[in-house]
Amino acid sequence: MSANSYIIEIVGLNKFYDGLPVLKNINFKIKSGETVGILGANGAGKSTLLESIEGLRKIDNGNIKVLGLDIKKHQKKIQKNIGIQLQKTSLFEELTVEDNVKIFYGLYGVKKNIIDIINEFDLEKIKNSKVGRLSGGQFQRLNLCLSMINNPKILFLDEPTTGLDPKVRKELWDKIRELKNAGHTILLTTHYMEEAEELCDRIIFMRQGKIVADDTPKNLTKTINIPKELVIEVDKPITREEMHGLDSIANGTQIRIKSSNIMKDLMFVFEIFKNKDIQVIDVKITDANLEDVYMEIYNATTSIC
Amino acid sequence: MCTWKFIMQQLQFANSMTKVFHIFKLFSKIFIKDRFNLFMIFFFNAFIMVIFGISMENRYENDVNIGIYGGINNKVYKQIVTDFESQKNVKLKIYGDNEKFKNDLENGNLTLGLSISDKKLSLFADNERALWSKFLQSTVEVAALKAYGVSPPVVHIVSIETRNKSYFDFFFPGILIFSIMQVGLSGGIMLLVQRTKGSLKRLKITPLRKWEFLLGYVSCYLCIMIIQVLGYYGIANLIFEYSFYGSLTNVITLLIGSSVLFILLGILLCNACNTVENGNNFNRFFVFPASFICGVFIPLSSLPEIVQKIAWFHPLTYLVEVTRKVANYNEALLNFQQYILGYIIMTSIIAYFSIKTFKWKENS
Ligand SMILES: Nc1ncnc2c1ncn2[C@@H]1O[C@H](COP(=O)(O)OP(=O)(O)OP(=O)(O)O)[C@@H](O)[C@H]1O
Ligand SMILES: [Mg+2]
Repeated sequence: MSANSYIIEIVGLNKFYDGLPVLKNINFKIKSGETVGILGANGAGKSTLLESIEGLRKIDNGNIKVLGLDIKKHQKKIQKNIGIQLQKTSLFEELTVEDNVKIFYGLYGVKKNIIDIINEFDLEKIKNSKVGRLSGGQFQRLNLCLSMINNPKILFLDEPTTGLDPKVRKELWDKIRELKNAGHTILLTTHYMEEAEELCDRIIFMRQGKIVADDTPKNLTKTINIPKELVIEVDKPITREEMHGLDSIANGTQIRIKSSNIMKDLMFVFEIFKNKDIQVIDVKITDANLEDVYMEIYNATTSIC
Repeated sequence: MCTWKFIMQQLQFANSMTKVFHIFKLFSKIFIKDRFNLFMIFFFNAFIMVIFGISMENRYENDVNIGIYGGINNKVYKQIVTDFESQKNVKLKIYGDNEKFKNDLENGNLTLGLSISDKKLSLFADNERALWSKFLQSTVEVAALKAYGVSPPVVHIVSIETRNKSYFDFFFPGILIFSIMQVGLSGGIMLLVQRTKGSLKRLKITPLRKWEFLLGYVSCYLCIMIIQVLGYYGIANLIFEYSFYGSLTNVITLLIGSSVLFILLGILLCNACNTVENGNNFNRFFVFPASFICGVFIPLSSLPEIVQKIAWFHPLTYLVEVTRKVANYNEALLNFQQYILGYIIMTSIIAYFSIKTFKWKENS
């Protein structure tokens, strides 16, 4: 793949607020069609990074190219072709959903029928409601709808599902997945590991303004050596002491064991059970998930940040 | 190649104008939806106007304006001028043009008119001003006696119909400019609310440019002000039979000039404040005292000298003063060259800074 097929390119990006660094030497590239999730604790710099790419914040040094154009020089040209959902935003609350959609339609010069997009984002029932009176989920759907008005090549979503109930969140995921399948490049931030695992092809972990990991969710869970968890159900209660020093938690008839070597540890516990005449009812082995990766990376990078 | 460029430019211009139009529509809608603001700005002022207009009718007489026409070399004329110059409340206006003299009389710009020729002294007065005409008659007779020694010419009293310059005439031009100021500044507050809420930031990430946004906003508020002025003028005309005596072009120029100044001042106010609370405080500080120190409801001349001096630091004072003179007394705009120059300089500075410091979102 040639260098030009990258839809976003960031080289040596630094940003300071009042002399304090918030983004420290950020470098990454995103290919067309990729869905990339940016993860990190509160204040890690995710929104700052996203808004710098969108041209909303001035950067102190480094280069950002979006759609092959320098953001410093071609802000408006780029903004015409990207869709943005801000983390903290407000629309015109005094006006209705439909009025708000109309304004953005007008500003992008979109000629399509307004009803189509209203239906597409499931807004027809609330189209005459004032935006100030929408629920969080309805508001986010409207927000997503507005960011899609110009059929953008790249979509920036800053915490699109924060504060939503699980059902609405799943619905929004479906919508985002639909957009992803339609070929849009998506860059999103989230605090939900599950969301990142569900939607993203690639995860960028940030910690105090630095990128500390950047890979596919699969590779991240694989490369980082995180112990798997063994969950064993037995017929008689057993205590932790009886497990002879294994990293385990015993809770009545359930034992949870953190294990880096599953086979060895299994053999070892079965031996104990045999001696104590304990019957095994069920065994589960759970894989490490992104949450574990997150905690692992967080702990591992404490020294470097 | 050249035509291609030309077509592209035209297309881009049309595109920009569409965006300007959408911003225009956006702010009109927001303005209409804000019922409380609408009431405070449109109806409250209209209400005050009617109440004041009705209750204070005819109570307003500032100076006695006496117009004199003809007989410059006449002895009586000279005597009268000397006599009146010592009177504090009497203002003399000398006319060389009979037409203008009559015109001013009929429009109520003069309390009384005196036409002097060698053979005849005519005193023109409205019946409603009988008291004044008695006073003047005796003064003229005394003057004539002094001038001629024994037999002075008879003073003819000519009764005429004049339009009554009431208190309403006095404050109507002022309230027009005052309301324009209120709308302009309240627009600034509305912008500030939208900015602090983050709605303007949402607009910034569309292809909308700063100048398109500002042009849409300014034209929207200009339209609101025009509608407001027309509404007030309608009320003034229907209830108080008010009409502009001065040149309509000049009055319109002044109204539009004031509108532009206060819209820009509103934008500047929005840029300068970090919170809506700040904006409201500034607004109160600017508007509240203005209603009584800038000569809108109370004539400047009747205020203490120190207050008068302060009043001249407020742009409203100048605009009200000039508009009143132009609208009610048909003074030419060119008589106010210094003020016009001042206006141009001030508006340019405010325009420069309001555009330069405009921001879509809080600094970051
Ligand atoms: N306008 C600003 N002025 C000064 N500091 C700021 C500004 N905006 C953000 N910061 C600081 O920059 C750092 C990064 O903020 P940012 O909003 O990018 O974090 P985030 O990763 O998006 O956090 P969250 O998950 O809470 O949204 C924070 O320490 C924040 O306090
Ligand atoms: Mg954030």
